[in-house]
Amino acid sequence: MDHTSVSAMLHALQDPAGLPAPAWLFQYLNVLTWAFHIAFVNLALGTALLAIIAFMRRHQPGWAQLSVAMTGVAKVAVSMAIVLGVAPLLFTQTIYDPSWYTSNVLSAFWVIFFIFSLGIGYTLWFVFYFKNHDVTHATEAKDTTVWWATAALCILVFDGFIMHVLSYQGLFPQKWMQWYAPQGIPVMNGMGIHAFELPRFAFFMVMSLTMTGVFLLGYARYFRARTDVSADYLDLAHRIGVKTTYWGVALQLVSGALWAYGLPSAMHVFAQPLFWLTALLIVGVALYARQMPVRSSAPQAYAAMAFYALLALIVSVDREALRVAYLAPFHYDLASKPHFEWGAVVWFFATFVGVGGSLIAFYSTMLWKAGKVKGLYTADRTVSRLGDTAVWVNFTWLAVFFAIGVWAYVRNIAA
Amino acid sequence: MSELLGIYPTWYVPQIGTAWVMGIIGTIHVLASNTSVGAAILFALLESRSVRENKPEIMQYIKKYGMFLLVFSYIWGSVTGPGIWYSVTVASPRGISALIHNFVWVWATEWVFFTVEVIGVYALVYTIGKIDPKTHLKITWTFVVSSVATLVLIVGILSFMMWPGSDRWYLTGSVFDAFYNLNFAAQLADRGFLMLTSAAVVGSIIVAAIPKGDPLRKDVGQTVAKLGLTGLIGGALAFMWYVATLPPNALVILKDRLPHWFGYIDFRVTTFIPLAVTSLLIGAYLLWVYLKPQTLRVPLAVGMVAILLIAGIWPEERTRESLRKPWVAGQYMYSNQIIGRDVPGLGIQDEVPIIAKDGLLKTAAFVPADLRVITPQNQLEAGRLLAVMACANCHSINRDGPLRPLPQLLHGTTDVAMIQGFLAGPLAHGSVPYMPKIDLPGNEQSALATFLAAVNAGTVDAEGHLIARAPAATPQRTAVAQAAAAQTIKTKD
Repeated sequence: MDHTSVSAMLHALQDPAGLPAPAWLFQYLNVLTWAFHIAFVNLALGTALLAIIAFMRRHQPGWAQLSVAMTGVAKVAVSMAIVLGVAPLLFTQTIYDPSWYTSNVLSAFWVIFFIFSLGIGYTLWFVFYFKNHDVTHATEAKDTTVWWATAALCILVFDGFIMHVLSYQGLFPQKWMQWYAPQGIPVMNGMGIHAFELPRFAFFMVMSLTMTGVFLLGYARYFRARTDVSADYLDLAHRIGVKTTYWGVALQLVSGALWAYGLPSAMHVFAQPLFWLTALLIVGVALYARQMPVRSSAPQAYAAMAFYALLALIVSVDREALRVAYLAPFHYDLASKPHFEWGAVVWFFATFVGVGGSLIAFYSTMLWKAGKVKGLYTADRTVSRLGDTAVWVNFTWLAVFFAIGVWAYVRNIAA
Repeated sequence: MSELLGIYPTWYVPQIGTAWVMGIIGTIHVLASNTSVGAAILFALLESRSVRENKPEIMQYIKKYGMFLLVFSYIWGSVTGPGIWYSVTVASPRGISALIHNFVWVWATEWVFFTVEVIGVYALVYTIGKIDPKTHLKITWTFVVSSVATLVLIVGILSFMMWPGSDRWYLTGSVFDAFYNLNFAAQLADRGFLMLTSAAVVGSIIVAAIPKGDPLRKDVGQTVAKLGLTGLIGGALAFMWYVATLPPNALVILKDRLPHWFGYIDFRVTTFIPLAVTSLLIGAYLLWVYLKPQTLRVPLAVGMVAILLIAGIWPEERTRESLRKPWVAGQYMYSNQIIGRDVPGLGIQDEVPIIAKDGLLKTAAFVPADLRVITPQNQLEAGRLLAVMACANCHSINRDGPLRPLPQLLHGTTDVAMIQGFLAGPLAHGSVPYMPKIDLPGNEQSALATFLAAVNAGTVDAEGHLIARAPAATPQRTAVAQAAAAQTIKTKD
């Protein structure tokens, strides 16, 4: 297909209802929320791998405890990765609807496979968790227990590959028709995997090691406050954190370079400041981790995680910049049909900041403080007030929701 | 050059069709998510009582149910939640796109609560006995409101899928008019009550796991049973309200499904009796849990959950999906992805006249160049593509497919002219209330009719492959066959 035809096709595929807010707003939210998502994907995969390795070394001091801890972290991280994946999925569909829907339909079988395999993979991880969640009996577990975790991790990585394929295929609208009807006859079984880029996929996967490394640095620091957690164990966690970060960074540099070399020359990727900023950040994470002492201060330890967060955000920006570059020849206009509705925008942001903010503040402060205490934690004044505020804000939101509802419902019925 | 319509490629699933793929994922999700919201309310009631009456043992039930919920609802519920999106994306991409572009901010708002809910459930379960009871109760109440918020937000979208209920939204295009539609409050009440029942039936498994003789069995079991019975009775009443808010096309379909005393609908039973029997069975079970909590056993409770899923939620969800026919969103987009009316508020244009003038093959974005013009050589392939694009969302094309199979609905006729007569008559004029108005030009009607007749004759399969066999059976040109074809085709599930 020539560029003009592709451009016309993309324009026709954009939803006729248009965008209820400026396209840049969705683009920013997409980048931001994808960074949240990939952080937990990385945490889930990285801690899962570490849980398996630690399980296999469980007879050495500290490793059994590490395996149990990482098994629990991965369990929660998968949940968070799923829920945080909803937002970028939503915003992608809003502004890149032609790419996302076409790519999904062309590989529909794998889309459905993704759903069931993700459920099965996560269930297998829970099985491993139930067999490996008690530190006191961790060393007694059978060797074969690890297969539950290994199968789960393989499935989750393959699910990551499916997501990669779905995103990547959407970048090539000029090939969609050829993929759909290779000999002029539509192939509608959705079995095809039409395009992938292994270095790109590998880059996102090995970033899991970087994330897990900096997470361990924070983890080791956090539990210093607990007298019932041995210092030797936390020193071990710190050392593994530094080592894992090195591995993650090294592999990210290799896979990132291969990815960049494979990009179309017209993109002039090596002349882009974003490319060098990303490379600098990746190296920066390793250098920062290297200079951290084993018993570092809290700001030092948690700054490593902040470093990763910045890296994830920049990688998310890179990803969006690439998408814009891939679609640029077809003059894809994100904002071709605006119909702004600011009331709904205010509604979302009020909920995001008000409800989300108050609840996350309550949960995180309470969990943070409770985790540092052995035995029963009694809320201090701050946590107590945060809790009251969260409950109050939550119920107020419901009241406002129904108040708007009565107004709109009556208006609708009167029409 | 013809106008290009944004119709996506098609994913074709032989036999069960894409509708059942969505239905299976949706049913699992409804059980998991309904249970989660209902359980949140149950937790709040029980925990408030635990704090008020100083009964810490009640918290052990909540902890066990919470752990169960993590696996039951927060693996499969949270996977099948986005899973519904994914399955609808591949089965009905334009339908989900229409919803996304109208409700993106509602879904984004729901995502905030969804995130809070996931953090909340972990916080709730893992801090039992580790933080003071008053603070824990605050976690539980925030978890309840977040769970309820996810329910109220999704119901606005689901009810809009049925219809806006007035002309106002078509003129304003406002999300508030779409969201707070006529069907919203009734569907919210119905789902709200029934999720209490879901939570009670699933929660009875945990009651059954409490050791026999433990007074907690009776204490918690009776609360669980009362909640479930309240949900069942409230749900039945709310369902009558729900029916009163349905559009006319849905009421026509309901004629096949509800008894005459249920409002103004004729006596036909295809869904009502199974649902009524299931409701009575679950009601009797919950009553028994209330009266004899000590006799409850885990296998029986698990069996009741299976009955709820297979004989309750599955037919209920399938009926609700069927009632929307022929529309998939807001009574402006048909199930087959074609826009069927103007929405001036959003500048959306009815595509039926465009297709009637230029044809589906010339206007749809994803049609191979060779098939845009029908020739004697490509007629069967063009007919197959038309059948998949225009019909397969609601019908099996296979002769023995379970989803309203076209060959059976056409009474197996191999008479091309008769099929074309139906296409040019009731279908083109949109006079079958639960079918889209599919007004194709003559050459496309002919290609579609030729393909369908060939499938009926067994010379071509639903995938378009020629089948080498003896000459086709004699076409049914009898008066009986013609009269049967002229009759309004009954919907089937």
